[in-house]
Amino acid sequence: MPAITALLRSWRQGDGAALDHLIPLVDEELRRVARAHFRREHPGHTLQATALVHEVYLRLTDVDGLTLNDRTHFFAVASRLMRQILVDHARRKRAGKRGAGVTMMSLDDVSPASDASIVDVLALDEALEALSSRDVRQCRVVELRFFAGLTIDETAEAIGVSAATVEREWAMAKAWLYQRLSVQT
Amino acid sequence: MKAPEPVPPGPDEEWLRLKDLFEAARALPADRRPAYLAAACSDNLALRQEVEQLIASYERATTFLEKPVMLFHDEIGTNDLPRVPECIGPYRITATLGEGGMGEVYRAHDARLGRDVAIKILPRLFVSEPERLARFEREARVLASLNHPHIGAIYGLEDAEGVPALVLELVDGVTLADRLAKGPLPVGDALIIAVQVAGALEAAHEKGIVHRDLKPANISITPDGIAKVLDFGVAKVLAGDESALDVSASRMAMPDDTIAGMVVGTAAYMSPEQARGQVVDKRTDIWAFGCVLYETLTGLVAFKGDTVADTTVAILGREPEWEALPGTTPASVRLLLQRCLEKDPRRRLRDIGDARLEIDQLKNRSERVRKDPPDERVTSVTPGHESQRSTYRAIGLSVLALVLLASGAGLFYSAQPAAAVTSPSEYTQLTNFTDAAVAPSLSPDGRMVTFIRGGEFFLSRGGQIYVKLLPNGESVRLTNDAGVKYGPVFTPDGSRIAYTQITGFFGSPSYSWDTWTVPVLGGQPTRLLPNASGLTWMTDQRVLFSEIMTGTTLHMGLVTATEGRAESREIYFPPHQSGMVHYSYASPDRQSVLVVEMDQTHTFNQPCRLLPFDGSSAGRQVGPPGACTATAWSPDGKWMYFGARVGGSAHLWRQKFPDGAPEQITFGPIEEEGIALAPDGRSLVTSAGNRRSAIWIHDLAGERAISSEGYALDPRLSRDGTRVFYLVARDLVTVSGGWVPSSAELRSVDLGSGETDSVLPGVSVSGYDISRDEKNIVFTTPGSGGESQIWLASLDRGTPPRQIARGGDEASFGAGGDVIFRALQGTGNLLARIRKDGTEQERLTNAHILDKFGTSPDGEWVIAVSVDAGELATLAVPVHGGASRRICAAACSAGWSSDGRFFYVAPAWGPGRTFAIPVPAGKPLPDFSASGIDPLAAVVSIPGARMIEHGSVSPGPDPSMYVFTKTDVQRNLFRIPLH
Repeated sequence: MPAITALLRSWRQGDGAALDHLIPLVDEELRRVARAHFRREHPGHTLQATALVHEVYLRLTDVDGLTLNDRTHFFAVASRLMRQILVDHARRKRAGKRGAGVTMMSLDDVSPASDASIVDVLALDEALEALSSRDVRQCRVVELRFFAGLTIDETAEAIGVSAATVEREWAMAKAWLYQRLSVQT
Repeated sequence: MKAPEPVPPGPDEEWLRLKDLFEAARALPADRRPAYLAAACSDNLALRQEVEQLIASYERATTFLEKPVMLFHDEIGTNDLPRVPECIGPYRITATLGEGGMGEVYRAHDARLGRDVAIKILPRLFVSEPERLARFEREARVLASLNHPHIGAIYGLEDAEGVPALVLELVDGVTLADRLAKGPLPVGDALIIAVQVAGALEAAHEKGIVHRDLKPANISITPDGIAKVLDFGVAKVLAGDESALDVSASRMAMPDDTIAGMVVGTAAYMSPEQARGQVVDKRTDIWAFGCVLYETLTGLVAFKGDTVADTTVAILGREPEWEALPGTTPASVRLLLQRCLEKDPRRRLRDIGDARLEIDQLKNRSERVRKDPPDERVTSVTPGHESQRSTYRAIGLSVLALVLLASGAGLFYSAQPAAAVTSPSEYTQLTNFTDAAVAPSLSPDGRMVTFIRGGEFFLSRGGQIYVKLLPNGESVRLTNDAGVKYGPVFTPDGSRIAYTQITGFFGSPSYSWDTWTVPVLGGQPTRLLPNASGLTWMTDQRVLFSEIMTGTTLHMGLVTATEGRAESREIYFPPHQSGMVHYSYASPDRQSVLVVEMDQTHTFNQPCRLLPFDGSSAGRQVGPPGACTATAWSPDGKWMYFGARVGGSAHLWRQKFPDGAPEQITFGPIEEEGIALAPDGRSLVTSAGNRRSAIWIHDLAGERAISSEGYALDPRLSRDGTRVFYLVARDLVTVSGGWVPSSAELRSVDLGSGETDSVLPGVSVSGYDISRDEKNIVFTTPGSGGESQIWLASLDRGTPPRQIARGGDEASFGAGGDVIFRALQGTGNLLARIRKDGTEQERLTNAHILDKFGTSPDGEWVIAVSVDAGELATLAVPVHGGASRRICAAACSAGWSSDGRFFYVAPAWGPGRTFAIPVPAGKPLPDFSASGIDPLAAVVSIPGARMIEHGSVSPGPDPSMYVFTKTDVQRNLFRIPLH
């Protein structure tokens, strides 16, 4: 497990190849832990992605040996993977296949006050993809905030900008995504 | 979704304008936005509409995406039933041991280590919350660090399909609860168990771990009478509650309880504060210990009720039946029980260690009264012998006697007549470790050896004390702590090992060199004498040890006193105030003492010394002309033995007492360290092996070795990062905490081509520094007569080296080509500066220094370990006057990156770590508080600070690149016949 710690460190210090090794490890663990959670829970149980990511973080890394920097870098990877995992699952659902022990993403809780009570994860993914072609940073902010549950400050730390910048990007990204998803539905 | 692009596309101008407008409009009150946008977008209606739509979306999307995504479980029928897994991790399940409220327990086999273990799978209901699960895993890691002979070990944590499983030591034997079902134990046996349980609790409490569920069912007694406390901290872990409220409290708050059976079983041992649901701490364990001891002595549960409620009433309001204690219960044990079972935790016994000491003292007193001949004690009592005769000591010895018999002791040695010199073919290997076994010492009867494993023979950091029955007994670890140790020896009765342990950081108020002892049979180490090191016994009552002179930092000399430090008398103090005596051995006739001492640079770099025991003179140096690190007497007192480095290799020597000539008795590439003479004088035990050290580089490509020579050290990166300078030792000497070369060759390696080059061919170097422009080098040589000399040379070998100073070392370049160094004075060392032409030598401060490190890139600051305001500290000292700045409130090594943008600090003790701290532009040092960096770990919170997982690295231009040394010591114990 400490391998993750070393990979994170190498990546942070500029070793791009470390990320290639890191992604499958984190991905596998995210999926495995999610499956394990649901296996011992009743249908209808919900699990915060944030909690899942944090749990995987604690499982995979030697927390004591990591700096705050490593931590945010980990969440940067995990948020992206979490998005991918949910998209994969939603695609399988749409194709009518039910994988073993898989989970479904519901955005029921996400926007109770808004008109769109359920946001389709695939639609969100496509909208994010479109946003990313206009503004990569806004896309990253959404991933970190929504898929990994990072706070504004943590997000700022993860992408190396000020909290005020994150706050501005977040406001506009939300507005832009909301508008795009509203138009499509 | 695509993989991350290496270079993300930047936003186009139109988008940037949109962002600006959106941001500006958002900042305005809603009623002023239309006018603003109309003006700002007068040229572009489409843009204006886009911003307006975004603002409208913004107003509506207040909660949109604000709550992080939830995963929703919509599967049906995957709720699997509990079943016995075949394997958990690498463990094959062989049997079910139990299942209950605390989770399923299996017996399993670990094929890798060939041992059986117990696996406890935690109840699913405990781990449904990720936070709790994460907390559990953190706790389990702490518990796994508990390693004690009387604590059932937690080997690790496995994942049983998403549910955590604890891998535990499988303890064969009955529980104390099983045993007590047959009735009370004899007082002596009860105390033997109590002292072991107290030792276990003491060890855990020292680590901040509270058992919280101590009861007879959690204490296992192995067939040979060893008590092991099980399920340490599991109650807390399962409660998973950081507020430290006990499980039982939350249970009582929940009438609907699926684990009521467990509650009733446990309730009897709950402390009053637990029963009230208050916060609990180690005093709860002390209460439970009292309950257990009471029950062991009487066979009765101290506080009993038919229901949980009745039991609680008894705990809170009633006293145990004191009359039920057997009449032979010592008064001190009765008192101890009352203090443990005090209902108010504030008035209860504070420290379980006091309970252990109380019982230990009882044991000592009973021994003094009994005065049994040792032989009878060993042979006439067997474990489990239920009589009042079976005192603690007798049982302990009888266990040892069984161990001795079982291991086939007695035929450990056969002498082989041969020539005067021994060859390695005659050695008998006693240990077979892949790391190091060093510092051997034999028991008075020669049947056991104690040694340090996993470290150096002196100031062994991370090394632990071991004992082994010769020749084939298992090596048993007796200590498990981070203390820096050296010099283990047996007590005269062979029951304990005494050793020196250094506590605290060099320079911290708690810093001390003390003698500790640990029982040969295992148990908690206890401090025998403070400020006493290298302790050996003269007689059963009188000891010989080194003491730090009051009022000095490390001026250590030889003293004799009784074990209780009465009748203390100085024998010898080295003249230099940094001199230290570390080992001392009295001759068999007690008239002379052989000592191993360090010189003023804290280095074993001189011959051993022979002193008269009466202290009438400072004696004289004896043995071979080299660095003596070990000495011993033959049992008849006719020979003195020495372990010494002479001419670059460490071997064993001997010399006829008093005036013979030294003769070498071992040769060859394998080096020996340490001497323990067998009582019959026909063999000795030593540590033989080799020590290697290589230079490694860490850069963006990873970590790799860049030197291949035998013992390379002291690397420096060139400023452009293409070349590494380093020393290859020809001869080494031991210093506090490691090895330094007494003579070495300076080499460099080109990182591109891998070619190595001798920088100063034919010159023997002990230390060096390269000038900032990389044109010059300052270096030190051992010099004749041991006087270190300082030399300057050009790196391109254009000019021959010239000597600029004598009596100095640790030289580095200051501003303008000046050299800063440690001047070795008669009674203390000073920080000094000299011009490059060898003139104008002057001291920088009047304070004595212990160590000096490098200078800042501008040459204006130098790092030194010195006494500051009465305590030892690492300072940055200005070269041209002014106030020193404190770096660490203890000894640490420190220095700058080549460009001065980072400052590196490495604690001298503890795990090898270096912190790289950014230096603000235009400043020489980071902004430390006046008290320095304390604790060092707080450094990681400094913005931009990084941690490097190696101690004492030599920095490159930035923290992503550095060089360091990796040392590898392989040594094992060997018996060498003497001819």
